[in-house]
Amino acid sequence: MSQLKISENGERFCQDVFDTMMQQSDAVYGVLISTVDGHDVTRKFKRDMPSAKLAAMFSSVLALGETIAREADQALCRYVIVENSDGYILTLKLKEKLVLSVIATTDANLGILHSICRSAADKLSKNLR
Amino acid sequence: MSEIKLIITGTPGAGKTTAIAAISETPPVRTDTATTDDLAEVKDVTTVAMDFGELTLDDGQKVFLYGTPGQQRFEFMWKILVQGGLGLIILVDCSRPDPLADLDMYLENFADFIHQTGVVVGVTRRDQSATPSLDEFYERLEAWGRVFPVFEVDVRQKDDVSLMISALISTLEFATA
Amino acid sequence: MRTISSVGLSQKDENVLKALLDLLGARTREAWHYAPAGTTDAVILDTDNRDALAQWLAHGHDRTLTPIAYASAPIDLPVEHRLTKPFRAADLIAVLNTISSRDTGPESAETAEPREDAEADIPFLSGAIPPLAQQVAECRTRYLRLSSARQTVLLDCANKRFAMKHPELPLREFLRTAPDQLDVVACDQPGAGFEGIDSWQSDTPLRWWIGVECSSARLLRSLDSSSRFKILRWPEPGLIKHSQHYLSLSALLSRKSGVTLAEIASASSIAADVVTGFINAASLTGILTTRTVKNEPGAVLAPPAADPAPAAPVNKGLFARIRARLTL
Repeated sequence: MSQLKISENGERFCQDVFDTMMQQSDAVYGVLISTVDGHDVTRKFKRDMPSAKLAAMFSSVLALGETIAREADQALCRYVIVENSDGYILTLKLKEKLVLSVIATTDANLGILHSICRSAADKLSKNLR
Repeated sequence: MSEIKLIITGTPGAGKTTAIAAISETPPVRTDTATTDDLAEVKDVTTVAMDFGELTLDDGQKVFLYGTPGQQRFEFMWKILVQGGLGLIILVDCSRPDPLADLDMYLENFADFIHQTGVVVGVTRRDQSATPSLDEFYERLEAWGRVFPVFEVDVRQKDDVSLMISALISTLEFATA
Repeated sequence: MRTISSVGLSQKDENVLKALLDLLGARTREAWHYAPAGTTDAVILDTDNRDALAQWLAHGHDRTLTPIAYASAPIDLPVEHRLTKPFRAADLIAVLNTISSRDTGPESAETAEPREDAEADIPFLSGAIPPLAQQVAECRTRYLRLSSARQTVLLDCANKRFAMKHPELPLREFLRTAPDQLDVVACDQPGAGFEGIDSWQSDTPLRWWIGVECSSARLLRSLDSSSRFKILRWPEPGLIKHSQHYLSLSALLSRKSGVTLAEIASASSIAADVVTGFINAASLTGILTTRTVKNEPGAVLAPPAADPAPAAPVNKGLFARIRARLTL
């Protein structure tokens, strides 16, 4: 079980940020905050998805992204993007120990999705301790 | 040349990353991240995707060593990593509350792979707990019919890791059913 | 002692033949040993191997040799002795005893079949000193005191422990002391130098190395060479890690249904005396189980259906290269 607990206020703040993201783009149908070692912390899903499993997978994929960057002699992995035939998944580090992941349909423009994620990540980073 | 893979799995903190580091010719590739759960009392970082090391044979062929994440929530990585693998090493940390249950969990999850290949069990952190006995570990393996090796090992020692791999190779060559 | 050679045998058959000769020797009237072709009493001729057969016939072989035709089907050759493939211990013993009977006269002819009391021919059962491994196997309650000129080891058979006095050599080296320079005495008390000793150790390594080093290439009397042998657990790493043969034997004896001596010979090129020593060591350390298969047709030489096919040659090469890389 994760030792990282989010307060009631923190939870409300996160849900507000998730709502804003989904309002900014109808294509966004899932947002998840998890820990770097794969625990689900909080989420907002419009569809039924296995949040615990996804939390572990986002942790793996982000760690692999960071490792690949290092092996390729590139600095600081900012995002891992999984582009699929019917959607996108963006994963990025949030502060030291958290991961933010956004799941969207192909109706989203990847550039806009980036922007939404970055802006949400900034807000969350400032307000989550 | 086809890819030769050996897989090392086992409980978090049992020494999978250390074992690969002990024997790999190159600095192991790691995917460590900070631990945020109870494991933090034991270790600061944990593997969340895989560890990777390699050995070069005299004809230039590479043997790849893959370490899995230990926690069951990373089961999806186990399935990915064993694909095309030659055999499995399970490391069991004796300082944990129920090492035999830990072993059962890995045997169950890797059952298909073990049936097709073979397994060696490395019992670690014996300096912290002399129990369970090796006989108890062997009892847990009885249902398989084949007698898989169970060794007490110090995975910081290259020779101990070599022994596990050698025993695994012998098992694959001479006792694969 | 009689000698036998072979012509045209596959490597596998040659290994099986050598193993059978080494391990079943006590069940033949005379001791038979394998030797290179040329000066032996008998020769086994693989008549399915046409090239080898033609060469043997063409080169005016030694007429004093007794040929034994070894074939998968009857063949038209003027040869008195015949064996049908694959090798079976009972058939081989019968042929060798027939040859012995013919050479030593009709009064021995009744022993042409394998004898139930063949153990009487084993020197250590008829008055001579048995190998140390056998003495340890038979010691249940007493002490065995093993002494060389400068070192003494005391085995407490009842309590499964041992102690050493003046240890100069590691156990294995000590046990390599020539048998005539190693004094073995069974006693009821620990004896001089061992009274009140508190440095007892588990006897597992001592028993193991006695099995390995002091078996004189003979299985313990309690073991039947036609059994399937299986280990209950792998020997401790310190006992096997320095020999690839021991790792291979551990794996062979780990199979679900165990393994016969002939299967070991067929699957590996490990010398018969090493195999014998390993099996005795496993028995002396309590990790061996056996299943008698004497009455199962072809059991001695034919692997059971459930057993694995030998690893493909490509993997054999790969395994060897990985081992070479890992040299312990």
